[in-house]
Amino acid sequence: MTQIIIRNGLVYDPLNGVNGEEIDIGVKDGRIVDPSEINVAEAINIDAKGKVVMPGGIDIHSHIAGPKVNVGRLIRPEDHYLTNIPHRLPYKRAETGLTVPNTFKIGYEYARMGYTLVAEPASPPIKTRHTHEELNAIPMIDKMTFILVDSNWIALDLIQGGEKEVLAAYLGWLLYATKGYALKIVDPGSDVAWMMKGKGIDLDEQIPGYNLTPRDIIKATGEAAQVLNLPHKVHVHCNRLGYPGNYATTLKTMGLTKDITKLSEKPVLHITHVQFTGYKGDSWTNLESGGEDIAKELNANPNVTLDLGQVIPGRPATTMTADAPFEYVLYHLTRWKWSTSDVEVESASGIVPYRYRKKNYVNTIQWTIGLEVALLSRDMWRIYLTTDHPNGGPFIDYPKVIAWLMSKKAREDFMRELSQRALRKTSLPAIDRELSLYDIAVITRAASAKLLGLEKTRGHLGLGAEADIAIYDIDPRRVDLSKQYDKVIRAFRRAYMTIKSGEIVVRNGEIVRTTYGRTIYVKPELPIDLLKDLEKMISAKFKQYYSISLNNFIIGEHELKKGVEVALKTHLR
Amino acid sequence: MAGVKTTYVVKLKSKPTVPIDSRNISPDKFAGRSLSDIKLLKVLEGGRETVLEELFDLEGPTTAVREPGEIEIVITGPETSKLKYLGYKMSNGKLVVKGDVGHLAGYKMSGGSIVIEGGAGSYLGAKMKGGTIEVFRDVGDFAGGKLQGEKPGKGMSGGTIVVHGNAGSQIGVGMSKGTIIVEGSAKVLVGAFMTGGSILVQRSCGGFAGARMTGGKIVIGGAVESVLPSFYVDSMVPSAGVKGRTINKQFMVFIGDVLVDGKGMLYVAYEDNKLLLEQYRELVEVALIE
Repeated sequence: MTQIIIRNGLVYDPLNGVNGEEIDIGVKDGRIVDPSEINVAEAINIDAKGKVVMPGGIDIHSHIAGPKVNVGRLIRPEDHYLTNIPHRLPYKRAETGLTVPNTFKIGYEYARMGYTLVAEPASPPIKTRHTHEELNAIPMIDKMTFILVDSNWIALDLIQGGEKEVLAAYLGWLLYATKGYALKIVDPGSDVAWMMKGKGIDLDEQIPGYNLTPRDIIKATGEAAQVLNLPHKVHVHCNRLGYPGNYATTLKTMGLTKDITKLSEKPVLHITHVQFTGYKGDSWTNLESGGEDIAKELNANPNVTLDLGQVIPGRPATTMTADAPFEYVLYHLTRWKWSTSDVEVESASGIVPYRYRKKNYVNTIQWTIGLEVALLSRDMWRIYLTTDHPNGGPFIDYPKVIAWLMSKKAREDFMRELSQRALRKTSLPAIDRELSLYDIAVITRAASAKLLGLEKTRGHLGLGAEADIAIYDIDPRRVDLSKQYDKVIRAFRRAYMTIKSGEIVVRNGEIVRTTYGRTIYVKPELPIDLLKDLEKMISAKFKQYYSISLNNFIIGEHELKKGVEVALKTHLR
Repeated sequence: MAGVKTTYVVKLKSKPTVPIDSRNISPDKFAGRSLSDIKLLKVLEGGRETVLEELFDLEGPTTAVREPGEIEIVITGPETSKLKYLGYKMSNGKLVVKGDVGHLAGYKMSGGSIVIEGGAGSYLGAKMKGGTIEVFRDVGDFAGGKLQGEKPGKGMSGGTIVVHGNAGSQIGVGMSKGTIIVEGSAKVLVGAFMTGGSILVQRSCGGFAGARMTGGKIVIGGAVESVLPSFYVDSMVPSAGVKGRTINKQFMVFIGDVLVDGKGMLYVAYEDNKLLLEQYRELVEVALIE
């Protein structure tokens, strides 16, 4: 296999504590090795002088595959006009789309930005076969999918019955049966309430038909994740997302961590796209940012992590979420087009195209919340950069967000185009903090790898790590990052070089080779007698609830292009 | 040099077998360039990138004037109907085609004029902002329209399209301003989703004229297949027209589409649609008496 040696690069590798030092990096057989092991005569020699070397980027939350993404493509033909780039065979397929691009463009754009692992965060179990088909078709990156369990009737029955062990075993079985990586909770219980009553519910409201509240669901699922010893614990999309005043619900949800019995060192809950759940005020007209309060709670509570869900004003977006009641509300705000669907037994979803406007009061507040949370939090290892693609904006705008975080001037220049009335109500203009390249490497790579439990092989450049490397053409010793932020955007938008599993896939910001990455999934080890009881229970429930048979529900290993199993030792007896 | 026209003749060398993306054949691209530079302008033949002189013979002055408004380009040759995107984003000057053209002629154009001495494909003058297009024979669908999936009002927003032949379906779909005149007949959904502007069809048209329109004016001078039930009848007028073209016939005036709170005007010739419109006549007369 290819041998590569990268010389003279400025290395940022937070998991190994390397902060901008000139270190040589050797790559052999898809792994990082000591440079002395490389046969220099055979190796590809890369001179990275004056360039930044980082581990490959990891995106923990980006809707890149699944039935809802496909429906988004179908209802938005206008998203694809004038974005077409013809194929360049044999190494590149055709690209199209902006907020809901085709599978090839998703892979290529991530690779061009130096990203090498992306998690699809919401897939209803019964539809996960489709998700895997699409993930199989995405080139360049490694991927994984999180499984929706928020309104799963079988899980709700088990939670109501108080059968903690069986619930954990069921969720473990479900993850393996659908080849998922982690559990995702979207607006817990709301899909049941939406179906029965036609409305969403708050954290402490009762779920119709069950003697439960969303609080119970989060708690029970969180404990099950602890028992199963999942590498990434629970991914939570809070209740009341998108409604003014919902920051209180978010704070309460973050506070739930103390009710969950901890069995490992890792954070207990991950609150996702926190920008959408950080609204203060009681109506759209007097909306304010709850970013400060959320950052305060984050700093005080070490068991919770957040990702930003930053919005990009001035760019079209396509909101797509399993939070169907909210999409119903959003459709009535935008009045253009809407797709909604109910997934039997498990979930519901909606899709609405949206455009965040620069002069809009609400959209400006939304823009400030994500940045406030990031800039006011003291521990960068519990913050992750996302735009909740394509809900807040397309992922290709990550470099813009990086520039806003790294440069006060970038923020000030952009603020001039925004609603001044909204800015007067936020604290963002008064924040002077500017993140360093090291911080950016933390929030886009190292911390993400740690959150996903992959810190041994990914997100760092130590010996034995997966050879996923991004080289950016920017020299922090020559360029003033806080002033010349356009150079930061340019560098991060098009990586000088991306190396995926030891192969050079991007050179000078252009694809030079198409490879297909792996799909990572977990296999929790369940005790045999518990599994037998569980299967009996599941097959009975399947006959009662589902329209398909159990055999057709389970996804085989052969259905994944390149599956990688992560075996888990559980605490189940 | 004002008023003096420089004329280029662009002739297809042979009959093309695949569509040709000819968006660079426009006065804006020619302006200020030497003939040898013009010959090297990019053209897509199917998916293959090539240069203008490989597919076309060019004749004209060795250096083009700076002002695109003083340039006239005449396009001839066998089967010009394979040429797409002619006059894309053109702002001034004149394009004359001695034959048919393909899809998306005059797409997003903002000024100048295009004369097509044959017919045209779909999306003629789609999303155009200004200028004039004249077509001597039939045109395809979506003339002066928006693209699929876009919001109402994103279609043509200025300028004039005159078609001497017939038009296809959905002409002026989503248009917000400007004029479309069809001297022949049109197919279904004339002026659907339009928010402003005016459309004149001198002869018959298909059903659903003005579906979901919120503003603007549609005049149908011949038989219609149907009038949508979501239109209210308003009155009878002795003549109707668009931009100086008047048809002296009795017209029945409708307002709609009420499904979207629309206030668009739909004029339908009365005598040609007597069977269809008789039921409304009573309503108009009752209103007059009261």
